[in-house]
Amino acid sequence: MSLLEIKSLYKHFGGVKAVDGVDYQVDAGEVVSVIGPNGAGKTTLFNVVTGFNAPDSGEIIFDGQRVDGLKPNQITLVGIARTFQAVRLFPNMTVIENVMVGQHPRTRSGLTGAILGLPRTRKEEKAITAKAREILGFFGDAFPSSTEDEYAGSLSYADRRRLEIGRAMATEPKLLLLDEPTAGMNPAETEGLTKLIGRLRDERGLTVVVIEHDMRLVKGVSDRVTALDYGQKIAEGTYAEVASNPQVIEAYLGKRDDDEATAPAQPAEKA
Amino acid sequence: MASSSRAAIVKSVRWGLIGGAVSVYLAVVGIVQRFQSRDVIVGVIGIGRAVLAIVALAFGYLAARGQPHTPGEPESPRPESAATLVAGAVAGAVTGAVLGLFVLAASAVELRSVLVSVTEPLLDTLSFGQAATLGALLLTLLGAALGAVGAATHLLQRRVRAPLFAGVVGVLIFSLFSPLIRQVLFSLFVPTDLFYEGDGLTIAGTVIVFVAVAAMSMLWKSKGDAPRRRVESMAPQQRKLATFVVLAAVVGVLLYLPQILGIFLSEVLGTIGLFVLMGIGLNIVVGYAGLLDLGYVAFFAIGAYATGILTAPEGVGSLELSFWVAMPIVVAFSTICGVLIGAPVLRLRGDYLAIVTLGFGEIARIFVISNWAAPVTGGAQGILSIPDPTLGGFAFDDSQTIYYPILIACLIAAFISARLADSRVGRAWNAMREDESVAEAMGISIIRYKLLAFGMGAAIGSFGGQFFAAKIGSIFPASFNILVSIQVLSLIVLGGMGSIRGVIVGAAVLVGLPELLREFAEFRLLFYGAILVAIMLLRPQGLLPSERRKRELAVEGEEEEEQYEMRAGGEAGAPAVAGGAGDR
Repeated sequence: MSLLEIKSLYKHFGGVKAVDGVDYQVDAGEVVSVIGPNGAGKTTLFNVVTGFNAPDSGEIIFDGQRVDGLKPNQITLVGIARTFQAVRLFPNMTVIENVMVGQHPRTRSGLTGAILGLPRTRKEEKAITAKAREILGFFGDAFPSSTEDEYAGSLSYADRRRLEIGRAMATEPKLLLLDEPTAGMNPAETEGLTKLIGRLRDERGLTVVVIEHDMRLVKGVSDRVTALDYGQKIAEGTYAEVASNPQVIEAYLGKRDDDEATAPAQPAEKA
Repeated sequence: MASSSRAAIVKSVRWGLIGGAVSVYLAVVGIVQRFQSRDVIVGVIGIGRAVLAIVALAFGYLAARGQPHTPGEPESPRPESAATLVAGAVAGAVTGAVLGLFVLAASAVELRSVLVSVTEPLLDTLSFGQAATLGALLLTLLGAALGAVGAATHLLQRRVRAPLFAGVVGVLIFSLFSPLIRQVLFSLFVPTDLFYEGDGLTIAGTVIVFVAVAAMSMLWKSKGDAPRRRVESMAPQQRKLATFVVLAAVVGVLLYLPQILGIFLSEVLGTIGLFVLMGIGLNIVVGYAGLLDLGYVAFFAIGAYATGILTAPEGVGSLELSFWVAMPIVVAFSTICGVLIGAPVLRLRGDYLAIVTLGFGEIARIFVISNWAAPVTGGAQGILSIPDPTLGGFAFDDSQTIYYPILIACLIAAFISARLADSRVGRAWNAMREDESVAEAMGISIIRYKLLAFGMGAAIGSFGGQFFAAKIGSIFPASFNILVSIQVLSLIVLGGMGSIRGVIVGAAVLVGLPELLREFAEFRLLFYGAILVAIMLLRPQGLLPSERRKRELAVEGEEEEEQYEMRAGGEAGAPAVAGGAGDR
């Protein structure tokens, strides 16, 4: 059974058909990619799934449950977490606090517990800290314990990207949506992230959907690739199938024009 | 060479002109003359002239900054002496000359019809009782001398400069706060006649204070960090004990304070306490949750009026509840009001939220005066004869006794606030402050946590109102104007957003100082403005910002050990993982 199922989803902004009748499925345990030129509606698709934008029509079924129209915090609670295209950490909170915030939907202490310092609350607080450290440990040497009290805003760009993934992991999702996780990373960092995404599935049992422009990463991680253009699905299949699909090549390159910037097929061959 | 010295003079003149403008401003708004009536040192200098002298000194100092260092001595931290002194003297002279020109102008032209503070006595003060021309000359010369002295501090070595500076500041503090210090000395059985005559220091007192403070400063420089180093070298258990001892000492002093300070100053202390309470409450809303609330006075008013209505013998039903019975009712009512006020503004952010809450604050005040509410709130007459809180026959009926319940409320509020800051709730608030949409994506219900912040802030703020009502005994609508909101917000900003210690310092500075410096009172808003601008420029994080970095995540001592083990393990394990990930 599929973990996420999207049925004829529509989201228009005025005249812009950002998501225009998309059907889409993700099975549990898959790592899938969504590609497409800028403005193809990839991020809007994420926003609709995570409750940031309400869909105009269509159904989103997650884990057998209708989730369209829920608020973002409710979506997180049912088990979908995301990162953002432009990194959006809490810059004036420390590294570990950022991850600890992610534990929010999985914990319950409230005002009374905090004020009175109830044993249950303290225990929970300890568990949150331990969980956060464990998640930071997942990133290898990126966050040694000496950095956990540093402000997130002071991290390097790549580390911010990693921390954002860590924070999303802390919400203990079943499905993780990564919006251009390698944007601004150098090739070595991108390669590291490619391995990391594989480990997210293999070690943490996560299902991952990646929006990505970097075709090395798409090729490296994806079980399946979906291409969007003008809010519609234009191709779906293995990387090789999608990369050789004429419609996809056209969407990226325009008709019979050589443009090296974002071509999916050729640079991928090199890599 | 010539052009560089010319540039230096231009720079000095520029600083001097600014200094002159500041001096004239201080004179024109009336600060100089108002303060002159009090002496710094009896028979030598009044506060008004001292302020002007400090301006000349300061601008002399500023103008002489960044002078070239003596050639051939690159190691020397001291700049070339002649150039430095000249730079300072020029700036000081210009400062004095500008003020002198002002004196000349003011004595030639009638300015008083426009600038009401430009009076004969002011001109007398400025011109040292001489004719205007001579006075202007004296001002210029004196300015030059003071500017040179200010500049000369650059030439001193640091270890000489610091004690001198401390001594001067000490003398100023001892004279400015003479009522407070006299009272303290008196309570500690120190004879005050040696130090003070009237409100000013005697010459002997000045010397003693200067020498003592300078000596203490030197001692602090050489030995000051010894206690801290010792604490740092302690084992966690011992350190905990040390913290406890310090805390106990602070609480002990706080408990004994009203006895030392006497009735009037305890009154001031109580007022500071009320503002600490409100500051802690608003700090939760603004500092933790990032919701800029400019209508916080509403909760002060709600607390005060609800207490008045429930406990006073007049008014609706004349319930005449005891203060303590009324307390939980008032808190619950105020919390509900906080949530109700919070509900309509949930979708607003930043500036819009500020404007709307500003409106709510005004609504509260106008509602209280309205004819509709007058039967309950007393309208413009307010509520009179609110009884003093009593406890088992003991009445908290003066400023020295009501201080204690206020103190306890402050301690509880601070404790609650500190606990919340370090909790899941506090983190949710912080996340919301940082980025509302992302916080929501982390599963935080924005509605819930905004309302929680408003409710919590309202509950703590209402304590301020309750004790205000009990302390004053009668409440009038005029006490609940927008200025209270501004004051509370200012003290948070001054102390440092999100910091509890900051709130206390902010309240002491913004509420306590004007009470001690009665001459200050009419310039209160001017000083608020100046202080806030200065803080924003020089120290935007506030005086005592919250040190979130240093915060301990582990609650107990044993956990620290675990932590160390984990760290050690983590470091040992790191290389292997790094090799695998290869993403660094």
